[in-house]
Amino acid sequence: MNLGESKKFMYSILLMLTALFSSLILTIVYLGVKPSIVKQQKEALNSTLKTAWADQKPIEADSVSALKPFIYTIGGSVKAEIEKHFIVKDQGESFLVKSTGRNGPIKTFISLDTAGNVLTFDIIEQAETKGIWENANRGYKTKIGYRDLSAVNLQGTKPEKGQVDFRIIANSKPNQIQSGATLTSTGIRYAFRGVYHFINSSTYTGQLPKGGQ
Amino acid sequence: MLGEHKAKDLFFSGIIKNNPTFVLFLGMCPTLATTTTFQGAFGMALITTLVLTMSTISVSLIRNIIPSQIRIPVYVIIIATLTKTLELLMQGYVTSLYQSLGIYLPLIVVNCIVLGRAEAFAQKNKLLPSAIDGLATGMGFTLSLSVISFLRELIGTGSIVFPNYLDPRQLLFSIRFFPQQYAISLFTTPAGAFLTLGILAGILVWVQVKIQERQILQEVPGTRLKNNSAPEGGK
Repeated sequence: MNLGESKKFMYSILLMLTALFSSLILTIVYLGVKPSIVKQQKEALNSTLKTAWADQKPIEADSVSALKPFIYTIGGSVKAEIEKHFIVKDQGESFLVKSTGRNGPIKTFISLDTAGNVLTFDIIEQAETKGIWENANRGYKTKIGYRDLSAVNLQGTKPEKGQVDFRIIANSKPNQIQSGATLTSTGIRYAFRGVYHFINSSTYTGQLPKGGQ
Repeated sequence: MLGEHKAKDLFFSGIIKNNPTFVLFLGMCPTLATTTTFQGAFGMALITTLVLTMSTISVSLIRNIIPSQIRIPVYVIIIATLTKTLELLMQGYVTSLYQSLGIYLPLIVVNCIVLGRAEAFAQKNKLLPSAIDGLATGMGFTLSLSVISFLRELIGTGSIVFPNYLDPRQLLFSIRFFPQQYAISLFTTPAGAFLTLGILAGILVWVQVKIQERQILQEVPGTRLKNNSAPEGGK
């Protein structure tokens, strides 16, 4: 190793140390700020969803972009609409949000507890690519295709004691549901992250997860 | 120690004589993009001033330790760290401003004013002059962006709205100068940004020329100034 090379080596080490020091500072700052960021996101999500539902107006593109951790779009944000709203007595409320990007809509199911904490936010239906669906559900290594889930629609029903006031009704043909029952029920479990009971081949009902995750 | 006069000169040079926007024409990207509203431009300028001051201080402090061969990447790391730190703090505590600035906030890293002052001044000077230079340049940038954005929002919408950065639901002030029907919406578009910048830069140059002419006339009474500075007999 000649002198030039040793100098280059030293400079590289120096640069790496600077970058490491910078990363350390940023990590400390991030850890310090994170609770506040999460609080802000929670407040933004709560107020946006509740205001949009109360006013019966779509959520504007800017707000959709701001809610990115919870609401996804494909191909940029265009708008989002709350399709359904469910109130679970003493447990919280849920919103079915249809967010539309330039490449089609995505439906996300968001459950909040009474304090406004986000219990679940999961994509349940997407029009386009399977790959994006799997990416969007980051953290879930599910092999279930969105097509299984796209056959599932949410339909509101009357609240019953101990149950969430919605039902998931698979609206495909009975034999398809039968053959896809495992996949679909697993998919729903992934999608809702809750405790669900299989009632019959075409209808599911569920309970809101206690405590949240 | 830095003399009082020198410090004053340095300070006013950064704000007026070497104003980064109107005189040096640096940092044009945020100047044109974020001056749609007064509140957004003012916030952007404040953050840039903070990054500028802290980066010149940091560069001045380490100027004797860092080998000149790797100084530029080190400066970039310092500026990026400072920008990201402020970005995170804004995301946590001044969310409305963070959202309104969007992509232009992380782009402070590549703002040529910041790297330019680190390279041209801070790496050759001690802590105090570097801090004054960074602060003055930042204040010059703030002044420019404020004037441009104020005019653009005023002419483009007829009013000036300034929310509380910490609580966007509250307004610090909202003044309507004339009805919106008389507003010229061109000024809120990118074309309006170029137009406003050009007019203001032109006015500033005209004022500077007039001041210089007056100084020359005062120094040498009876001197006749010519508009055409080309040498006599030249073609």
